[in-house]
Amino acid sequence: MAIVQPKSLKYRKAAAHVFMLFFLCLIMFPLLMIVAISFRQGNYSVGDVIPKLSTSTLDHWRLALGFDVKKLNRIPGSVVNFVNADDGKVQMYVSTQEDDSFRAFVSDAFDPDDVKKVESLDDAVEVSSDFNVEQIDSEKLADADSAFALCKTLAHKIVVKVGDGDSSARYLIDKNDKDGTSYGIYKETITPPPFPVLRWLWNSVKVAFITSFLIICLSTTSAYAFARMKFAGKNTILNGMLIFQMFPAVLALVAIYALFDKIGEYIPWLGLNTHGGLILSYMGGIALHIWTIKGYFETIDASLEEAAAIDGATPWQAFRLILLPLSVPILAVVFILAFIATVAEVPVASVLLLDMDELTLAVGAQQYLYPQNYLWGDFAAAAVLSGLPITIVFLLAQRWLVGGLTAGGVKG
Amino acid sequence: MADVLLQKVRKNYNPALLKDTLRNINLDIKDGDFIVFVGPSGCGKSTLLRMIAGLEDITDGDLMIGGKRVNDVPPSQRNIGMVFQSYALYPHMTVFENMAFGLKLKKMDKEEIRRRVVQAADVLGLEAFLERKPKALSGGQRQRVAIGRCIVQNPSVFLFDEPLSNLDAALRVKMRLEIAKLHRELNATIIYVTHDQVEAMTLADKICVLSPLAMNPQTESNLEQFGAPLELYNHPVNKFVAGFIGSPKMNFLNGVIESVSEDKCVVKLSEGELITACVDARRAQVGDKVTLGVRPEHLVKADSDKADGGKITCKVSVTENLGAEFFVYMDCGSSEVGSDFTVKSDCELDVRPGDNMEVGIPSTACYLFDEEGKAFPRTAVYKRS
Ligand SMILES: Nc1ncnc2c1ncn2[C@@H]1O[C@H](COP(=O)(O)OP(=O)(O)OP(=O)(O)O)[C@@H](O)[C@H]1O
Ligand SMILES: [Mg+2]
Repeated sequence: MAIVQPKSLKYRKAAAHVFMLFFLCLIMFPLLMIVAISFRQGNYSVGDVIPKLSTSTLDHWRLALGFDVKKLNRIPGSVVNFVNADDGKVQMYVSTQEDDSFRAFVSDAFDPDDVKKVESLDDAVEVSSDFNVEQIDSEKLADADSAFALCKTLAHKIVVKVGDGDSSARYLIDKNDKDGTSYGIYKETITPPPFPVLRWLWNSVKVAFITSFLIICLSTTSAYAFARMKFAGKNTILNGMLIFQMFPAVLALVAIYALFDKIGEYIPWLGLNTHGGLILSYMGGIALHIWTIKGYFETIDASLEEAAAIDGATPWQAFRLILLPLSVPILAVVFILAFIATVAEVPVASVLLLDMDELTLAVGAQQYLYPQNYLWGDFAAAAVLSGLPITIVFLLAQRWLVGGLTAGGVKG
Repeated sequence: MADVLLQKVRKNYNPALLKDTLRNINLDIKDGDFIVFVGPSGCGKSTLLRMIAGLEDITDGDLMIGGKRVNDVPPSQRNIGMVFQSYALYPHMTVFENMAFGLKLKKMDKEEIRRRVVQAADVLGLEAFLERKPKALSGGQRQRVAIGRCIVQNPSVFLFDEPLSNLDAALRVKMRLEIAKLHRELNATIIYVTHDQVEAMTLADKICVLSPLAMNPQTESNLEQFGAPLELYNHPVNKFVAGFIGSPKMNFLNGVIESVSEDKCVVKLSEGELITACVDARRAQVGDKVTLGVRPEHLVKADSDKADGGKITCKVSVTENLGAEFFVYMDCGSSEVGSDFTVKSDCELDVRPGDNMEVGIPSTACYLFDEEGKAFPRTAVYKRS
């Protein structure tokens, strides 16, 4: 700054900085929260802002990205016993009580030395076989203590697989405590992703890209007309567009629904439950973009296009070769704005889209929040995911956000 | 190259709301002429130029270029080149691309484009800047690029709208000479708008003086006079042209005709002085109100033998010494606003503000206008020295 400033400005400047930092934190806080929730165990909205590493989990993200989540649940009332078999081998007897049905099984005889160290369920050695309660050899059971003592030294988890094919289930047998005085049985439960989140994400990105592109095409051309051409009713149309845009689209949901229902009868790919229809409905919201671009066009001296006309350019050539290249920054801004608005839009999309597979992420993520059960954790992961395309588009578009493009063209 | 002919051209930007901007403009511009449009700000010079270019439609009348009526021909097909008041260079293109733009649109051969651009750059001294963007050029260089963009197209008519108005004095002189040189080399028809008297007088083959219609909405035409520079200087057809051409402005004194003869006329000024003027005022009556005009540079010392027309005495209000020239602004009482009479002298005069000074008027230096402002024919032209 070239202007000489009084001393007191320093403090005011510092105060302003502090205020801005505080404000920034305030703005960033919800984002941090949502990221934290997406890593927290369980589906609760309250808890640590920064989750502890030991308790944090990727489960919500697994679900969001379309992977199964495997979980081990302790089966209460289960008993594990080890029996000595011949040749120093060991057999394992397990009895469980699930849902009032009693199950028990015994393993093949195995050499404790063969049992590998197991880190996760998937690389466990399977030592299982089906087994009937009646088959338990009570004599062998009598010898359980020694086998138990033996197994105590294993210090490994043991995985048991029961049944074949779809009906198979895996049990994990693990020590309940450090010393291995008792063993617990954990049943593996597999949760498939409840919703096609990645598909929703793809829908969002697809719809947003096409919408933004079409919005750019439409609004630049109409802004050109408004900025450069003379026609009757220009101001009325301009103001009218702005005023109509002031009514939120939510208020017109019924009309929109009915409209697209009707359109769908004639042009199926623009009807209800199609992305075409959704994109078409988003096209309606370009009044503000037209104003923005028109304002920018008006800062570009019209003599540039006149010079182009004298150089032999048609109006279209003057628009494409002279005006558009100079307007790249504002086009990038409008593209980003349109993209963000589309990705975040809920009301219209929630009415027009019906199939689970067709939803956009913003609409779909709300499926996690059914009244009986708010799955905040899963919701958070999906929400963070929906910010991803916006961030990428912004980073890509940033290189176009440059100033001074029109410098040097005209004097004054 | 081509003639440009304007017949009864009228322009009205918005007939519903506005009065005419230009009315009844008749101009016959010969091939190879250098024409300069002058006139006060807002009189429609740019408008007329833009109409010739095809950037504004013509409300009435005909515009012929090269013998063909082009009223409805788009700019690109009129074979004209225009240098804008604001240069209007394409900021996102290099100098080369700027100059090549029109040729590229015409789908001209790449080699030919290169040849033409390099040749034009050579003429204008722009070879070193071909790869630069306009942003990185000085005002004078941008100006030349704008001219170069015209030249490469090889138009038959060049239109310049106040091209030098933003340049500093030295650069302006340099560019003026370059434009004169360019005209000689290209031998094209050039129409040039300027506010600068010197540019107008030195460059023009013919000057076209326009007046704002708003000043007098009844007038038939706001084309005041069209003629060679010295013709306008020596024989302005009316008071407006007389006052507009020449710097400083011509002095006007009110009076009535005292007597007329074949080549002389005696005017009695409002203060009572009698001035003899070499004009043929026989179409007027004795006692008619007239305006006497005399240029500041033609005034002489009261005791000089050139002062054969008479003398007047006024009170000095301001003096200006420019070194080469000396100006005395005086108050003759013919208008309310302070000084209304200017003297330009080659040598320093020994006067102070507040003094009364007597100046001599050569009879051959006088211009005489009737009440409507129309000039009486002069019978002699004053020669200095
Ligand atoms: N687009 C327009 N609509 C309405 N009136 C206009 C328009 N352009 C110019 N005018 C009017 O026409 C008149 C002539 O304008 P023009 O630009 O031709 O003046 P000019 O002689 O070039 O003045 P300057 O010497 O200041 O450039 C002015 O009174 C102006 O207000
Ligand atoms: Mg102008």
